[in-house]
Amino acid sequence: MIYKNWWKWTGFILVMYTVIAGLAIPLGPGIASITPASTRAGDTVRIQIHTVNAHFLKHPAGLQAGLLGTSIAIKPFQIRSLANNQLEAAFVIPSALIRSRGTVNLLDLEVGSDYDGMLIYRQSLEVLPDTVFLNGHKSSAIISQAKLEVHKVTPAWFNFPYRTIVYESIRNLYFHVCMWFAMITLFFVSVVYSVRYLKNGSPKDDRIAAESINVGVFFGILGLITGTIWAKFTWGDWWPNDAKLNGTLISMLLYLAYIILRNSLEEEQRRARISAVYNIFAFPMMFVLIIVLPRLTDSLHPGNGGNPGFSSYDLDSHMRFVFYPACIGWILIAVWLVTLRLRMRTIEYKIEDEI
Amino acid sequence: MQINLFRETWTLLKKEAVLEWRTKNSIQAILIYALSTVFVCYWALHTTEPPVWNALFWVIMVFSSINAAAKSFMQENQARQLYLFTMASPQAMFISKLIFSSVIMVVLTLCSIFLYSLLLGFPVIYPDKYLLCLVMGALNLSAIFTLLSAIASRAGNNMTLLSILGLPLVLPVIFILIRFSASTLMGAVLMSGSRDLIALAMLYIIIVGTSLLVFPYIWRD
Repeated sequence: MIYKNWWKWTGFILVMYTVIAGLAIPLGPGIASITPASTRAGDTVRIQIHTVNAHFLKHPAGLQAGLLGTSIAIKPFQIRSLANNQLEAAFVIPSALIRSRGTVNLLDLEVGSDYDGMLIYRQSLEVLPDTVFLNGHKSSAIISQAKLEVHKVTPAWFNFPYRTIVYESIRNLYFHVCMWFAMITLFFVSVVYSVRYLKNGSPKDDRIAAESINVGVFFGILGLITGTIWAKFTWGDWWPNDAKLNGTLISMLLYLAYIILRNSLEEEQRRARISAVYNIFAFPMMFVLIIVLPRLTDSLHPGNGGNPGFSSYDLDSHMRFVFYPACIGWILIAVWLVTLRLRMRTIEYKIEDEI
Repeated sequence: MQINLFRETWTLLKKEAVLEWRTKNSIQAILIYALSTVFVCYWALHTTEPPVWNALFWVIMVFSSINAAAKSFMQENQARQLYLFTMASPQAMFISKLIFSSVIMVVLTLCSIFLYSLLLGFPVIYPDKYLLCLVMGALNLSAIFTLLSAIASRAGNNMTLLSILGLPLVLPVIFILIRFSASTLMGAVLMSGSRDLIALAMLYIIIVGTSLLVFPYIWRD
């Protein structure tokens, strides 16, 4: 029995792995804020850097910092870690940093250690011009090369990327996106079986098509719910006016209409044939709505409307370890649900046949 | 084989046209529906702001096309359908209905836009592009709803079912149409150019092609 249902066990294990790993693996380090955020050229400034998920006290090896501007890098004359997530770095800002009166420089702050990799906080320190403008006076604290000597860029421990706007909710990738993958897979299966039904007329194909759509709609609704919650957290709105969201809602309407169509027809063969025809129309329309139209218009979703796609979520290294198994696991669970419903329907069909 | 199809289609089309011309009930009903909706909108709004003007007109068009195409398949009775099933090929049947409802839809659209602009103004900078958009929209809507009315006629001539099935399918077409027509109006920010036109043409070809492939299965009853 275990051998015949190996794929169900695989799906279950993969989803459990996704839930545990996806929720337990910590997020990477990042800089939350700095004080002061503004200083004058020519000043000596002690910057308190507040980070998250870092280990600067526990693993202080290779601790370094730098203020970066265009073709300029300023090293601190003193840097120390006060707590795991708090650093203090003292810089001397050269007075010649501001080239002309009236301009303001925004410097990037880079902080890092061997254990935590390099963290960067772009355009964080605002440097106002010196009250006394000295020509050509350079402080010895500047190094002339444009970049900081960097030992390790990524943290030495397994982590998910720390991104502003999403923060911890990046884990939703393993639930929200996987729901949609499972839904599209099921709809594709159902349209394949609809075409097969039109070719050979076996009622089993029709049952598979119908149950795939039932379970697919369920996963679509789950995807909509997870997406709505994620949208409220990251974009600030339960339902922003986004092309992909509207497209998925209309696709849900399409397939709900399929279910209504099936319920409104009594006779089996006619019901099967007509719903197969409608399914063949609904699938390309769903594809257009969810995948084609959002790419053509402005959209908030990554990968559409000019936004960078999956690669911006650091799927190159760490998240892929959980994302690929998650997709496979959720698709297997979805197919398992379809087979369960199929067994129910087959039994009903056989009972009706006997009667 | 192809000449046979053409002749069959032509005969069926003539039959439809003659029937319609004798009683005129279908085209009168649709025209009255569309024109009274236009009048209600005029009475309620009295406005010429381009976005509202545009959106309202397309809403009227969608619901008129549901009525127009619904009449195509759903007014046939059982005996006549059996007779036609033995006589003509399903492709000819479908093409004749499609052409007929397209013609009615285009006529309806032009009459509606005439009355609409008479009452509410015509804030269009590129009238040729706008009329092209109207015609493409009429063709697309009539194609989708003709097939759906064939499906609905098999499900007991249910108008509600036609609306339920049709509206989600027609929504992406409406999006493209509204965007395209909005780009021809006054105060248009979006220049979508020929991309929308190509999208509409491709959609029409795909819908008609798929319907022709799939219609024989519905017809077989």
